Amino acid sequence: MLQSFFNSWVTQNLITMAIIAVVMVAAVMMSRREYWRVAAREVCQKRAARFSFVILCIYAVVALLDSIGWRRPVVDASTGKTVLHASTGKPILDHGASALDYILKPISSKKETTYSAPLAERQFTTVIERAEDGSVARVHKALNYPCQHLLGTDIIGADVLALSLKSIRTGLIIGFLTTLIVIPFALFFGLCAGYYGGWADDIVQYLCTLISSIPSVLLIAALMLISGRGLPQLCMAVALTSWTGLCRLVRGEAIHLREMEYVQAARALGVSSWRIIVRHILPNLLHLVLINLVLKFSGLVLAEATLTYLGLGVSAETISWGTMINDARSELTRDPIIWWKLTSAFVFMLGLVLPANIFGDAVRDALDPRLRTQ
Amino acid sequence: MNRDGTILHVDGLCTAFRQGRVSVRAVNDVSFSIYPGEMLALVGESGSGKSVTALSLMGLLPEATSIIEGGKAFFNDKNILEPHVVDAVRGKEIAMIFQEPMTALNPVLTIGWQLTEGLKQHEHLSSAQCHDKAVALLKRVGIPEPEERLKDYPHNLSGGMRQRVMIAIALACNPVLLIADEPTTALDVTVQAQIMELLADLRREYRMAVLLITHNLALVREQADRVAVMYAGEIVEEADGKELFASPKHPYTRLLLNAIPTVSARGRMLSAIAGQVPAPSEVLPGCRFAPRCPYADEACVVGRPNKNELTKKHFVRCVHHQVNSAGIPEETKETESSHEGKLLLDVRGLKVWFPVKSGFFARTRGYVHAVDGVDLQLSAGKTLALVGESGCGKTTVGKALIRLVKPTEGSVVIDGVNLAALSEKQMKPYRKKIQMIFQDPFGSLDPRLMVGESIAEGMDVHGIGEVEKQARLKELLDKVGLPQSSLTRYPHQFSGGQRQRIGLARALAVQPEIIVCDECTSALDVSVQAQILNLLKLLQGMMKLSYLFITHDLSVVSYIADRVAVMYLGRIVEEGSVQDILMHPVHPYSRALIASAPRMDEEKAEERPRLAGELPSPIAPPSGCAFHPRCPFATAECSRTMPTLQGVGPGHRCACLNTANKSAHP
Repeated sequence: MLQSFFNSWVTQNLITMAIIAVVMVAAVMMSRREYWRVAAREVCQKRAARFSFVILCIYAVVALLDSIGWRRPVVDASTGKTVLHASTGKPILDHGASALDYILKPISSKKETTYSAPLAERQFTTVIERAEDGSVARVHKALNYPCQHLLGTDIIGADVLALSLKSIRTGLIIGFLTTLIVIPFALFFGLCAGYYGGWADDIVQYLCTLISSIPSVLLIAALMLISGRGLPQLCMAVALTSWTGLCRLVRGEAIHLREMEYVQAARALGVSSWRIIVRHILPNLLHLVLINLVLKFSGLVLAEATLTYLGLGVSAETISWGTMINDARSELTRDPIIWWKLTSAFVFMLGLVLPANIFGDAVRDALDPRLRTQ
Repeated sequence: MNRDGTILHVDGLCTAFRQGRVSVRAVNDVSFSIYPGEMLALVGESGSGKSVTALSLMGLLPEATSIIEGGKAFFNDKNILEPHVVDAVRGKEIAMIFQEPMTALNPVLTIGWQLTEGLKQHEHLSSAQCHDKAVALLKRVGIPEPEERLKDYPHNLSGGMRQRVMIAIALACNPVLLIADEPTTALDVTVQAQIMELLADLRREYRMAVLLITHNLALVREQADRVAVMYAGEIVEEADGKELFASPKHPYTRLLLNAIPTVSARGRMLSAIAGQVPAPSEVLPGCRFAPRCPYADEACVVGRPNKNELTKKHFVRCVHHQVNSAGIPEETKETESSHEGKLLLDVRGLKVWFPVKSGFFARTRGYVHAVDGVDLQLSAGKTLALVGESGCGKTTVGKALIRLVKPTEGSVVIDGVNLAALSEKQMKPYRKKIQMIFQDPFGSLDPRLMVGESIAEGMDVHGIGEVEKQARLKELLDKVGLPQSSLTRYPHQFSGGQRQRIGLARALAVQPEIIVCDECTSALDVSVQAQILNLLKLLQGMMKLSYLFITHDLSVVSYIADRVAVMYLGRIVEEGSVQDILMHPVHPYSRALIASAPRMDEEKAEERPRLAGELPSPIAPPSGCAFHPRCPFATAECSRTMPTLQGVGPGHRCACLNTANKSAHP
């Protein structure tokens, strides 16, 4: 029930719209604050950061296009008319597809039967064929669409470029969803431990130490076994093992900020602890959280690939760079090797992770008060 | 030595820093000479370029961002400003000591290792010779048990001891010139006196020249043979120490000297210099002081003033140096409040003990006796100064009064209510009565809040309506002398002095009766400090405020305080009117403290009580009188009996067994 609710296009579209709305509202609010405007200007001054931002935006647009979709009426191929429901008379709808699917249709519909190298005219594998003169020979059969697969095709003849583009959404979801789960955990525990100290600090520290003393791969494996393999489950599992780092960072900064004179002044004025945390401490460590998350984002994308390769990640039907790399395990043992699937997954991942790191560095330089010039 | 008899002759030094594509001059055409055995003081406010001058001479500026754009500096007839020439003499013939004794020593190496490092480098001595020399050096700088100390790490030593070690390291190769960059700024006055005395001895003994870089004019007045006053990267006046302080010629020098708070300045406004030191990047074609100078006219802004030679040893860089030899017009506004106010704050037996814990879920192993039984009385409209060395617990007293820390024992009574006994919630309405302003102008304002939001914070908490809030905000800005446009700006757009005004406005927003000023002028330059002190006095007159002024700076105390309490290791040792304490101190500690502080308004006393040693740990305070281990008059009785405050004159009390029976006022 819940599964079908979340899988319906209506829900997905709504969630996507909500995400876009939240991002836009945050951007507008930040642009009003001079602090963020100065930081944005500083980031924009760096050519590498600007370039990275454009690439990240392209990835984001692809992911968003892949997240909104709709169902279309089924068209009878022979008559060219829409098929109507027998009793209600309404048109019957298909399973639907995302906007990206519709855009990629010209590519993804060009099905081959098996492997073909990038821009090849013929199949990669040979089949035994009897020639007209009766002799038997191993031949590379001609492709249905020669020279049209930019990155080749995989074992079932699907276009690798289309697969790679479809994987972007999975990668970004892992990155964002995990981050979204991590933030409240880390902020809540970190701020409580740092600001209140005492036994609250002891408990949080103990919890952090406990979690980080278990090998994270084992913990994720256990969680995935319990909850089943799926994208949300994976995000949850990765988040549960990775919030401790950010929590410690927030705690340390909160301890430092708690002793700042403006916090003391607020206490002297009778401002409540909760209000001090929200008004003075949180805004003053938000930049650290942001820097940390931007830098960590690429790590999460890579973690998905690693975990899927280990068989702990998303299920095989989900298109992701992880599953692509997992498939490559057998492809690499062939002779001559099939390199293009692994290579495209690698290049697309690099295309996300490298700009994310460069951009993250620029954001840190712009926000870190120690590096920031007045 | 150079051929002309100078140790160091600097001619036209210009140093610039690269900031992006532009280069900014921090030091502009600075020239001076130092003769053997002489102490030349380079004095100026922050941003005047005095440290950059020293670092340029030592070749210690970062090569990537700084350029020496011109000038020569001769040492042994060699121009040490040429690349790598200084490397041969740095640490050997020219030595340097720095401001922060805590960070100037490497914490993971022993004192002995750091002391002998230079010896091995420059003198090529054997290990045994090095050891002997190191012991001799430590003995020379007055460190007890030098053999033992060689094996110690820096954290085993106190701040004063570390600065002595730094001096020993600097002396290791018998330098002929010592550059001391704010050598005592991080130290307490009693320790400062010890260190300065040591430097004077060494100067006499080895005929070593000292270039003293400092912002402390009183210290310069006591110590320096010659003084060069720097302002915004230039030397504006240079003269013999006596002459400069007796008849300063440059308007900046005169205003600066008048800005120093003294007893004689009580009752009038200090001559604060409007504005602040210009940033090196500001382009000023004429005299760099012209925008702040009360005598500036068209002649001042067209070109850089020439160096006028008044006498052979007195130079001044001012167009009007002859015209304006009359006194500077002073605002002689009467600010002294003479009425006797009612008792507003009554603190009895205040104790704040911090538990010392160790390990995870650990038990308390002991207590830091930060405040150990303090009595204070503050009358309405009056200023009580709480003075003492760092670590004596004076800040903790302030924090306990406004309940930033919970008092362990004792009572804090305001309007008949004991605040110490109230719960956090009950305390809230009383928080309006007592407020605090802080030391660090950069840490006391939330960088993410607009100034208006910061000031309004207290009003928001205490439920003041929007209309009244806006009216009060406007009024507050007028009171503290800030433009109305400040409300929507952020703290980083303001200078240190302006931020202190904002902090004051925030405290005043809830209309308190008492303000605890915790070293609120210590981080400011003299000219800005004068602005803030004037403002505090003005507001006191206007609003009948009472101040608890926590400070270590006795010159500020002499100017602003009505009554003074001297604190030592968590206790008040002497309490009385400002005249009593500053002129006739009774307690041996007060006497030493006051004698150690360099003063502007008193002739240099040759013989005065110096205090040996430093503040003991408040975890295990000495038995009996806490001061007895450092007291020159201590008897056996002192280590057994804890003295209490006894009257030694009208309104003058002292806690000392030896002076309790004697009167300070014969």
